[in-house]
Amino acid sequence: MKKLVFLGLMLASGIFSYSQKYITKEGVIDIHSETSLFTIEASNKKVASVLDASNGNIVASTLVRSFKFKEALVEEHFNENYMESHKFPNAVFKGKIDNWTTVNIKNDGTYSVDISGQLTLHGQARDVKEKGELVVKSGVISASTVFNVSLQNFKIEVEKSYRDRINDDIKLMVKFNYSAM
Amino acid sequence: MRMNKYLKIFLFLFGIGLISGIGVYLYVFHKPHRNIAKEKSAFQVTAIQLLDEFSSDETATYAKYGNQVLEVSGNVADVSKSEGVLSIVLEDASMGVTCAFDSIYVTGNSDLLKNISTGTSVKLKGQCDGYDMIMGVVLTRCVLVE
Repeated sequence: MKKLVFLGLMLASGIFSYSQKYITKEGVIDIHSETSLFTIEASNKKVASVLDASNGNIVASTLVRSFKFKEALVEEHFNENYMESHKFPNAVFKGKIDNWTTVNIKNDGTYSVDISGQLTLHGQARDVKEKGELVVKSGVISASTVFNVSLQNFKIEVEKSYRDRINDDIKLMVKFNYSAM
Repeated sequence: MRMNKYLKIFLFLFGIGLISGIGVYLYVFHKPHRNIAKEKSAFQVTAIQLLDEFSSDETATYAKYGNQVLEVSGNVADVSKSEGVLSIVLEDASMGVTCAFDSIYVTGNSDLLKNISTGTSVKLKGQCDGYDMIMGVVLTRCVLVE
């Protein structure tokens, strides 16, 4: 009986160490849009993400209103006219690191990774695929990637008169520092 | 004398044009961000009440509180700092009310903020950004009330 309990504990601890999850609630996403007339920059420092170390699955989520712009009026237009944050307050990514088997989080090092999954913005879910980088250093996993997003693809309408100021291709620069949950 | 009159009218109109031009420029590029400290809170709630409302009906609660200035009181369950932003989580460390003080506020009010630690109770004002599936309720541009 004692042996059985011991075996059970061994198994349970094995499962726990295997389902190790890494989390950040202070991830950063910077927005960058550039045309010859106008550069738009915003930063969101309240992005949350969970990385499941057993299979490389990633969930990341944030609130559209948490993107802060330098110009108050641009922030207002971003929320009211483009992202319609009163209707679609959340932005979510659900996906995985495709080459997770090549990453060994027990060893410090730098790994280039392929990320794929579904990004939901403005109520629209779209498949995305990007390259990223993981840096593992003493238990902290720093992940960085750039998502290239087409506004049209997410049904975000930009008026004709603003198209020379707002680029259809927006860069989302993502930086997460995960630590063990 | 006549010319002088036209010149005066011209200068007058030119002046109005110039002033409104500067006004539009200032409005577009220098419209100040909302000042949470001066803005009157639309609602006064406890963190527990806020969490209850969001978890029972997220859509309706967001319609009520979204983008509003809320005055929230609660117990501090977690404190962290990253990229100059101070975040405190009220009531439940894993899924509570997350309140972010931006870096400018943090540097200007370090004396006020240094007393905040896990277990203390606080009252603050902030802009309600909504409900996140990992963080819970999120308030940004927070200022401390007491």
